[in-house]
Amino acid sequence: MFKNAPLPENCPPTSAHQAQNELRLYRILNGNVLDADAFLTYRQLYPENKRYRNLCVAFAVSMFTTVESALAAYRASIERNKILGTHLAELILQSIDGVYEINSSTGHCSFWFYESSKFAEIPCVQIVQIDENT
Amino acid sequence: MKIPDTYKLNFHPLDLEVVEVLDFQGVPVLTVEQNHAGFKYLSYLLQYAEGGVEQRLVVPVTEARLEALKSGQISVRDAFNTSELEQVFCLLYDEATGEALESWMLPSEVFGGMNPVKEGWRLVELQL
Repeated sequence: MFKNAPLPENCPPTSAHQAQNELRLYRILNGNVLDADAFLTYRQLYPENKRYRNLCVAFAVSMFTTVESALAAYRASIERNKILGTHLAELILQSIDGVYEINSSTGHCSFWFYESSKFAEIPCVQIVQIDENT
Repeated sequence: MKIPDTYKLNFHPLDLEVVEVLDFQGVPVLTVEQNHAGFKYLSYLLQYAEGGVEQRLVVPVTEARLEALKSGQISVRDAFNTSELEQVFCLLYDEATGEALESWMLPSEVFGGMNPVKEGWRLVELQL
């Protein structure tokens, strides 16, 4: 049912839900191409990392609810000597794409995509290069 | 964060698996981790070093203290400043494998003078 199956037990959590209407989210990308590699989960990035093998959030695609929250995460990561990406994509997700959970404090959104969701067909409003000085 | 060699361990005392994420922002910033005996630890991503190495601060945490943290009654900084066992661990992990590479153990009173966790950071803002 979900991409990247098998997922850990009780994943996604029951608190995750489908979008009622269109859901506008922002994804930090490495490049300006919106292909399957643009939607890798933490688990896919580090499949051999034993510490996250049962962590549900690691099986979700990391997104943000606002440009500001995405840039805040980008900047915080730079301060930790980690570059999350180079571009920011503004995407429109639908209920048919999957379920999600938002951390209202940080604006981070964990999105678990349904297997049937097609990344290439997700509407993309724009992809812009992240200006490190913004 | 540079830690004096005095506090460096020649073994890795903690074998932890991440069981909950309190702050994930593309990378796991603040996590709850657990050892094989079921004891929980709070873990904060401090920074990355060259070669895909993550440096984390780790303190033992009880359920009561974890709830206080989640409800905003105590700040993240204070959770590390006032470790219940008066010890703070610093660990280097291989990001690719999750293997611990180096470990330090600091007494709380020493760590308090170098605590790099930002002040005022609460997971939930208190309603006054």
